[in-house]
Amino acid sequence: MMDGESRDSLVKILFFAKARELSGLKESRAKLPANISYQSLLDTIIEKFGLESIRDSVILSLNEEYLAANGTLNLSDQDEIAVIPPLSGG
Amino acid sequence: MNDSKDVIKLQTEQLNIGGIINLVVAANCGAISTFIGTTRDNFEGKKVVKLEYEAYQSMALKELENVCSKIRSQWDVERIAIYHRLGVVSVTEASVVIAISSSHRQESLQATQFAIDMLKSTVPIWKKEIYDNHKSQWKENKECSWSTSRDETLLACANVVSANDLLLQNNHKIFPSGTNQDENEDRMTEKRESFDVPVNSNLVQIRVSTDELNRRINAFIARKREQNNIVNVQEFCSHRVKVDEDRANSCARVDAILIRRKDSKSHVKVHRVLNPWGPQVADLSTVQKTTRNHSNQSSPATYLPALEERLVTSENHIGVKGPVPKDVYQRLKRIEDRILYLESLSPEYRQFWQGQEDRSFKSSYQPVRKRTFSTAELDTKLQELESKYTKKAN
Repeated sequence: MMDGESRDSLVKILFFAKARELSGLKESRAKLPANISYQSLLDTIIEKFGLESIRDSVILSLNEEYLAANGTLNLSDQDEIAVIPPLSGG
Repeated sequence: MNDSKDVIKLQTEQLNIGGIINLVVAANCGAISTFIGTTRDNFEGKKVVKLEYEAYQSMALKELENVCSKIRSQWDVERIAIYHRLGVVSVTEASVVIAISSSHRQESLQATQFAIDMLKSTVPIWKKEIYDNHKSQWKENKECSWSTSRDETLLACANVVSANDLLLQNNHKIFPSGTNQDENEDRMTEKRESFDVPVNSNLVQIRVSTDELNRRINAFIARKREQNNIVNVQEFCSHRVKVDEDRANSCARVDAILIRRKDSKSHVKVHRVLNPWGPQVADLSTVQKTTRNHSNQSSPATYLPALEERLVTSENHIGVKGPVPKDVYQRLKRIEDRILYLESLSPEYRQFWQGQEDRSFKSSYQPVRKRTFSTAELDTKLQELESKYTKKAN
């Protein structure tokens, strides 16, 4: 899926609330470039799982930590990414 | 150690509010503050039938732990319990219960408000309202920084929240009122300062620069320390004006005397006048010095052997040591001084010493155990008495 130079990681992706309903999945697996910026990771996931309608209101977490929108990530196999719509606990 | 005092749980069963509050009960606490979030039956005129909660459970637990540690870094609280409901919740049921105990109410009250605010903005839990027209909607907390429909949600929440939100006032930070629409975006960042929002200027009492504020805080701390020092010096050293040189700088409470404090719960009821200097607090060493000077030429006593015996016994009993002065009055004075000194050390137990010496005193305090009689015994006793009195009457 990517060019031969960059390594890919097989990561787990979790969906919650509206993201779960839109994608129809609780979790999925995806091969993603190990070195990826937050924005292109978000773009990839939005496109792959049909989440365009909530693109501007979700953030991602990596291994149970919220991600900053301007960072670059270093993904490894077994990493767990979650698509997190606006919270409504309490 | 703190972990055992924090109880956090996500559960599908109904929340037992009393049980959760019991978890934070602690003997050293004078306050338990609780927040109970319940589910409303209406939203924008639509009738809510039920709600569904879901969570990213592992991360939610992590974030709740994070809430607890944030609380502990800011307030001195004893125990924290945070329970959140998951799955289907009927309207009016509790969806979240937070209970925090602390020794004084201020800490737990503020910590509880902080806990629910932080829970709403950082803990990955979601709720969907299901309406009676079979439609449903995922809710969004206004506290959540990446929520899009914040304005819309705000309108729904504003009426409820605005009255409560100004309660929390921590030093110069004031939490946002519910009607405040332009909350800043960085609420997820580490520091509590990120919760800073434009504050009603009427609520600010002190308007100075940071340097001046720090100076005032430091001055306040310094003044409090000085006050403490003065109290300590008075309490530990004031009546020992003529201290021995080697003990002058000692902080050991070797000569502390009892000063009954207000509301003291001591079992010994003593009210003493505090005499800063006098025979009752005179150091024994000074007494001994003076007597020693006179008694250098000590010689066998010339008074009656019986009197001598009584004096020796008394001296031994109360521990008067050193060479015996020739003059009997000086010996008596020494005994008196010694008794005064001993009383000054621990006057509240004087009666017990007396009790030991005085047999009659002791015997009067022997515990009397009341006998208990059976009904049969009582009957026979009564019969005896009756027969006795009838005999007398005859």
